Amino acid sequence: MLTRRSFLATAACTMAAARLHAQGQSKVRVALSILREATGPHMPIDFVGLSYEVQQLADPSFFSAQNSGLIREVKALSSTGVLRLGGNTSEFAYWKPKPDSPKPEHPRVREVAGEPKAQYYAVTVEAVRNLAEFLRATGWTCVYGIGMGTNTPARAAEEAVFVAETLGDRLQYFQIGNEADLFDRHLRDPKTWSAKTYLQEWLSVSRAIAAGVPAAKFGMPDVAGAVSWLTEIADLWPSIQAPPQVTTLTHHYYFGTHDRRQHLLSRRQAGCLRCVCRCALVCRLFAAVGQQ
Amino acid sequence: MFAAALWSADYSLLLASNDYSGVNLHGGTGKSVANSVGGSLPGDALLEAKGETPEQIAAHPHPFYTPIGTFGSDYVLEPVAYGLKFASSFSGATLLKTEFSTKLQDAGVNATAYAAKLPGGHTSVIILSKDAAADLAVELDFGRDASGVVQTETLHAPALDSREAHITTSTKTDSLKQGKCSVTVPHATGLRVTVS
Repeated sequence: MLTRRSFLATAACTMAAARLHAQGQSKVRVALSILREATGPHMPIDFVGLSYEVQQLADPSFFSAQNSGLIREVKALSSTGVLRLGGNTSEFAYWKPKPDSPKPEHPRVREVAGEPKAQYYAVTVEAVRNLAEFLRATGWTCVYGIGMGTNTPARAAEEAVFVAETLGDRLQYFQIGNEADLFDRHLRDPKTWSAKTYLQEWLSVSRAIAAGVPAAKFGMPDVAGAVSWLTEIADLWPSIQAPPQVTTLTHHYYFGTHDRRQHLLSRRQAGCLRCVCRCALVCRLFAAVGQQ
Repeated sequence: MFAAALWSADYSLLLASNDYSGVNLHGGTGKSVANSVGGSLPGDALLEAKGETPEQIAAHPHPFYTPIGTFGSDYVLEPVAYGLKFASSFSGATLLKTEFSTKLQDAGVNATAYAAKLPGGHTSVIILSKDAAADLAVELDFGRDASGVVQTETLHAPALDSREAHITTSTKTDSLKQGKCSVTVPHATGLRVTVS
């Protein structure tokens, strides 16, 4: 079975083994004719983005207005980018609204090679406020990940209310859960975990958030590799009464796991999901690349 | 390494040309990325297996892959981020449907190419050669009636396995002649040609 860790090791091996050949002097001639009419897709102004672990928020000074070195490099990359917070560690974060808020009870999880250990950490008011200042300093917006693996709808909603108020127009949407298609490895019962059970849980959390943040937007399902979940969810979507507002479909791509084109959603699939989600839906890709 | 810059530029534009709305390359500090996969980085294990000492391993940037590297309190754009930045020159543009990549690969070169109409109306072409050996001589035909100044920008490094990347705008400009211009794309290099 390909685990995240074994994949990463394999990818790193592949890169390390890619010794470069001696460079020759051959020159190949090609003629390319450029059409005048631009009839292809529009590339959004905020196409470029970075993705970080939520655990990065455990150090409130990292994403802060005081971290001038990081701000400089982020702005050098793009003046209109999107910072996505998520990652495997997002499933082990908990919202700590006050300095004396107690650490909540967490469900038992299985320790599996390649997945995070059950070391819980707090996301604080200070970290979110600093994040807002960081985003304003860089000109970037944010996709804010809230854990699903060990979280509760009530805690997720409480965090979302504060995040929405604090980030304001810097917040693009919430993402609930990271790579939930792999939850069967350490966070859920592999006998019952599926796109359907994921969707049920996702709805309970997203509805709790939407109750506190009526304008909340969401991206989903943020799968590691099971892009078939998108069409499975699309098939289930019409049966959902008053679904939360999903604006973006997301999935990950790990370099080396499969042909780079095979994971791309076809236009037929994307069109189907656009229709089902009843919104102008486009797919954003969070590319997590190997060789970590 | 620089090969990652060519990959990220190509992959970003592949996604854009397939109607994706964005790409977020994952990274961060060594600690957070290690924790995300169980507490240690696979790259460390690989180096240990190669016989490197703990001191030698510690000298490598951690994590091994990240768009923005962290070195103490310093931050550095890694090559893969330069590729993303190079591709982002098409942000806000409308892509042109092309078969450029197929044509280049049919010619036996490991290269791809994309074209776009920029928000200001100018046309731009990005050619990405991941070929380790073959240089490309490309004739770009913008149409017989097309005219304008040709500007170029290059994504480059000394070698595919260099741990650096650069984006350089040429100080020289050219003009279209009968709607055409000819450019050379050295092996393992990205070239952006814009007609304004």
